[in-house]
Parts: sequence; structure tokens; C-alpha cells
Amino acid sequence: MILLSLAMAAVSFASVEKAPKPIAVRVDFVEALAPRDTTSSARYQQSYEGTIALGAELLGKKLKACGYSLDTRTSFYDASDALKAKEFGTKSAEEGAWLVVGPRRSNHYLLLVQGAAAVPTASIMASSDKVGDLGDRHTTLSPINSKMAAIAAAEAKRRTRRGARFVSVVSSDCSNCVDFAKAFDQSAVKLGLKKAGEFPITGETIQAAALRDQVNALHPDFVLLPNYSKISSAVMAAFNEDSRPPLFVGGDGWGDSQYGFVQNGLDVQKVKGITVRGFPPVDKGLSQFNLGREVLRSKRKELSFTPDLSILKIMEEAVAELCAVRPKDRTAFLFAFEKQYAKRLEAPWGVSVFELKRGEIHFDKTVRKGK
Amino acid sequence: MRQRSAKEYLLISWLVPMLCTFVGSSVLALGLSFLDYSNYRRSEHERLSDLAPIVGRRIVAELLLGEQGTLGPVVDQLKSEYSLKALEIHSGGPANSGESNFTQWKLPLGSEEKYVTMERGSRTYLSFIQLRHFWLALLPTLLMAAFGFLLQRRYLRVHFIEPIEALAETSVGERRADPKWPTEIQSIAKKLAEAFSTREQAVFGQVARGIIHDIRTHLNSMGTATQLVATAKDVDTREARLEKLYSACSRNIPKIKSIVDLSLDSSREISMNAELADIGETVGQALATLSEMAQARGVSLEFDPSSSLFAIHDPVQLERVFVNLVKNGIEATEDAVQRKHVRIAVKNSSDGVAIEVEDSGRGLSDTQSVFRPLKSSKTHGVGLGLFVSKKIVEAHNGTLEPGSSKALGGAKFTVLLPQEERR
Repeated sequence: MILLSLAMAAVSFASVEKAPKPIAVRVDFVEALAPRDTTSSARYQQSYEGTIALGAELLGKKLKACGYSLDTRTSFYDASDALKAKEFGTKSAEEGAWLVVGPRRSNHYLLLVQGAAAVPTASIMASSDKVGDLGDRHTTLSPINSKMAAIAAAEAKRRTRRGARFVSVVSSDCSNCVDFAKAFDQSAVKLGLKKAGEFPITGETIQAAALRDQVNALHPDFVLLPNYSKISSAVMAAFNEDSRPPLFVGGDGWGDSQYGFVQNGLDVQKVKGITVRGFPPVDKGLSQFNLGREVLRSKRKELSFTPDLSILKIMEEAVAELCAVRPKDRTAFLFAFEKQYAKRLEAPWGVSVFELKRGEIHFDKTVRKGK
Repeated sequence: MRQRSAKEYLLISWLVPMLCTFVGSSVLALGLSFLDYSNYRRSEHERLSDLAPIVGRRIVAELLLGEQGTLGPVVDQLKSEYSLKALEIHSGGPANSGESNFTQWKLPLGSEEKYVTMERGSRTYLSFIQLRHFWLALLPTLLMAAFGFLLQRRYLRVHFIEPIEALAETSVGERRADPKWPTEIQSIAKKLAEAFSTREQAVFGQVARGIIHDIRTHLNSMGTATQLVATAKDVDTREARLEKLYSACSRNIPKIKSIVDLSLDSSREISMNAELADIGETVGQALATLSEMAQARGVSLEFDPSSSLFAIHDPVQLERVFVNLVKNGIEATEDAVQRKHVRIAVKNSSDGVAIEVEDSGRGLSDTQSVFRPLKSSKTHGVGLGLFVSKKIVEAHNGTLEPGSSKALGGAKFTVLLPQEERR
């Protein structure tokens, strides 16, 4: 008995000694916080960090079973200093991050990629067409602007008339807005829509009444307004008292009921519009992937911000990739990322169309057409 | 120099401090504006220094994005957002480094050497002159004005102006000094009252003597006539002299009444009873009154009655004037060693009728003060004769001018009566 016991203890000791140590996978999350943005920064940051923690917790067992442990680092910076994105990207690359989850703004993400060119990165929301040109090492969970703009143009045509006239009011200092407007113009030409004029605006202070008169003078059927919510609502509010205001068509900046919604600004009760986004409402998005459904079931956290969907989706796919490929180091992970992972993260939810009615934005439908 | 009332001086003493306060406060306001401007320049320089890295980093981000970025609009937005006059990105070394309007910063672009130069907004000193600063200037001025007004109204007017105005009444005994007045003014008022009392008593005595003297002149005339009656040796002569006595009494009694009335109140308006009469005759009447006196003193009176002229005048009043003037002439020649002579001439001039009374006396030493009441150069003079005479002549719209007689070497008085217009 004694010998048997000794033998079992020896075997047991040997097995403990030989158990492989989990490989630490460092995933850096970098996000910009801007008081002037559509977001309430504090709430957004809290939700952002909470979602990462929840994802890590829910995926922890599976990851451990695959021989990995998650080492997440979260960095926030002032959105007015985009150069920080590049500096954080460089820092993450130098410190050995396997994956960098980049900021939602396209220009910030493009800068981050400049700093972390050798590391796989994924933006939670960037939609600039330039992001689509970055190659397989870098991706975004949002459909790119040209795709969203094509759907926005098609919806605008459907809701107005064949050969409808439109004007665009675009924040010229917002690269994503300019990008979307260009893509829209290209799609509009293909659909036979006629552009009657363009009004570039700068900053957040605009002469809305004068702009309204200039726009109305061109008698457009709809106005392209691919700007962030504060400016968009200021423009639309100027048309609120018009007897027949034109239809407004937005990009991915009007926000939603939880996230810098246009209705939180000025009175836009009588204005009608449509806006396209790369994400459905959070609940609908969560129900479309396993981790999301688990979050819904667990009721551990009420997710309200669209980026939460992206964070969870990226984490789920990263863990799936690790367990499937079992890379031993960052280089191996990079190889696998480029081959498969990036494809699976590309616009998983299609393009969603929302309607602005009676001062509120309602989800209308999701369009899954083309890339 | 223009004469001003005490109230005007008080007003000036109110306006000048107010003006000084306004000027001083305005200078202070301009100084405050300049202080703001200096602070602005200093803070603007500091602001640009703090701003340089922020702006520079945003520009670097756009430069790194290249075609993906929006450099032009971002630069415009930065200029607008930070109130910059100019924002330039340039290669090479720093420029404008010595100028406080500019701030430069090297862009962190690795090997590439680029700079951003920012020029602060061009606010001038004038743009810092604000209305609120001038309210600061106006406020003390208004306070000074209000304070000065209250001071004058409630203090200076009550305690200085009104007492000074009341001094006139105090000086003639119509009002007593108020114990509330400043002690200096009370003292002045007391001295004025005392002086008035002394003067009043003196005047009373002099007037009484003057009346007596004037009356005596006429009484002497009547007394001489009475004496002549008494010494008449026959009935006819007596009758004739009685007739003269009666005539003298009839002429002199109204004159005595007039003397008393006028002398008792020299300020009284002259009661005129003007008529067109021969001025030579009026002069003759006066000479008749004084003929005995002149004869007694050895003074020769020269008058040519044929040079008479008619003029509207009060013979009684004007006779008194001539009596005074001739009498003065007689008395003035009293000390003359050689010829004692008084000449009366009536002349027609372009300005009217001139009656000249000149004597061979010692003349007038001071022509300015001869008409001042109660001033006399004679030993027994009262000093009312010329004063009253002047008033009577002025009541005739005429003038009485003192002067020197070239012909006789003594004094000369000229009565000029306006020529009567013939209807």
C-alpha cells in the first residue's frame, strides 16, 4: 500500500510538473475619448472596460483549456490628439502585443496602424475606405464607407424618386465624413441621382439658417448629411419649421438612442431622414454570435454601446483562432490572423438602415449585400 | 476779467473737480484697458506656447495620414478654434523667432525637419477699450457731481450764499445776524450793523445841520427883507418893501418845504412840476436869493439875463440847483485874495441848454467824489448840496458835470438840459 501510494504520488507530481504553462496572449485595446464626440466619455469608457472584463471572464475557461491566458491592456487618450493612436500602436508593437484593438475613428485607426504595422489590428468601428485597403493584417468590424454609402444612396432613391436631386453638407475637417460623401457621390451617379450642390462646413459652429436658405434655393429632394450628430442635428433643426423639409441622409455618425443620438440635440421633430450604420441595434447584434448570446443569457451586463458588440466579437474570434491554430508565439498568430481571422471579423453584421421619424431614430432593416 | 457772481464761482468749484474726476477716471479706464491689453499679449504668448504642441501634434497626425487625412480643413479649423491669425507649416529652421506674435514648434516627424508657425490673433489696443471701463470712469464723476450738488445745495448755499446775500439787509439794520451763520460772516454782519448805526447817527446830524443851513439861507433872505421893512422911513417905501417881503416869503416858504422834504429823504424820487419857462429867469431867481449874501462877502455875480433861453424845467427845483451851485461858488471865493467873482452863463448848444457856473476860487481837487453825499470840502458843509443838485438835474434828464474854469481859474459846473423839441 505504501509503495502504491508512493507510486501514485510520484506520478501525480510528475504530471503537475509537466503541465504546460499557459501562453500569455497580450491584447491591447486602444480607444479615444472625446468630450466633443457623440459619446458621453465617462459612460463609454466604463462600458468599454466592463465589456472587455466580461468577455475575458466568459472566455477564460475555454482559453485556459487551449493553453492560453489573456493579458489585456486598455489605453484611452484624448480624441483631439490623434497622434496618440500611432504612439500607442508603436508602444503595443514594441511591448509584444499579439493583437491591438484599435479606435473606432478611421483616421485614428489609420495612425495606429502606422505605429503597429507589424501587429494584427482590428478597429471596432472604423469605416473609411482606406481602412479596407490596409490588407489582411488590419481589419474593421464596420462595413467600409463605400458599401454603406451605396446602400444609403439606394435607400435615398427608393424613398424619393428616380433622378432625385440632392445636395451634400459635409464637415470638411472630418476625414470619414468626406470619405463617405465621396463614396456616396459615386454610388449616386450609378443610380442616376443628381447632385445639385455641395456645402462644406468646418468646426462645430455653423450658420444654420443661412445654410438652410442656400440649400433650399437648390430645391433638393434630399440632403446628404454624413456628419457627426451634433452638427447633423444643428443642420436638420434649421429645417424643422419648413413646410416641406427635404429628406436627410446620414452616414454612420448620427448615433443611436444610447450613443450620442441626434435627437438629444436640437428639435428635429418634423424632419425625416435615414441613416446607415455598420451595426444593428445592440440586442440584435448580440443574438447573432455565441458570446453575444451568452452575454444575453447571463444578463451579467446590459450592453448598450455598439462598440461592445465589436469588442466581444473580436475576443470571441481571437479565442477561436487561438484554440484552432494553437500558435506558439505572436508571429504564428499573425500568420493565422492574416489567413483566416481577419476575414471572419470583416463586417459581420452587414449594413443597417435606421429611420429618423418624429425626432427619434428607429431601426428599419439590415442589408447584407456584396462585400 | 469778466465779473462773476458767487454762485458762478461755486458752480465752477463744482464743475472743475467733476471734470478733473472724469479726466482722471478716463485715464484710469484707459490704463485698465491697457492693462487688459498687456495681459492679453502676455497670456496670448503663453497660450501659443501651450498650444504649440497640441496644434503641432494634430498637424503631424494629418501629415502622417497624407492623402487619407484632411490637412487643409484641419488647419482652417485650428485657426478658427484657437483664434490664430496665421498657421503655417514649413521646412527649415525657425523664422520670426524674435517676434512675440509668433510661436514656433518643431514637428515630431522623425528625420524630416518641419516646423509649425503660429501667429496670434491681431487684437489691437483699441479693441480693449471697453464700455465697462468708461462706466468706471463715469461712476466716480457722477458720484462727484451728486456729492458736489448736495454739498452746494445743502451746505454752501445755506451756510455761505444765503448769509452773504443777507449781509445787505444786515448792513442797513433790516435783519439781524443768524446764529447759524459761519462765525466770520456773523462777525462781518456785526461790524456792518455797527458801522451802519454810527453812520446813521452821523447822517442824521449832518442832514439836520444841512436842513438848518439851507433853511437859514432863505430865512436870511426873508430876514433881510423884514429888516428893510423895519427900517423904512416913509409909508411908500415901507409898502414897497412889504411887497418885496411878501414876495420873498411866497417864494421861499415852498422852497423851505421842498428842502425839508428832499433832505429828510435824499433817496426820494424828485417831485417834478415841469413847465416851459425861461431858464434865465430861474437863474435870476436864484441870484436874487443870493445877492445879499454875495454883496455881504464882496463877491461879484456876473450874469447876462439877455442870454436867457426857454426850456422845460421845474423852476423851483432848478432854482435850488442854481442856488447851490452859486452859493458854493461864493463860498469857494471866500479865501481868494484878488478878485472874488462868480460867473453864470446860459448857452444854447447842440446837446441842449447849458448853464455854466464858474468861480474864481481854488477849484476842485477831486472831481470824482464831489457828488458823494455827506462829503464836503467846506468847513461847515454838509455834503448834500451837490448830491441833491445832481439828482434834480438828472430828474430833468440832464447832466451836471464838474470841471475847471479856464477863464476864472476856479471850479466850473455845467448843467446840461436836453433841448425841448418844438411841436
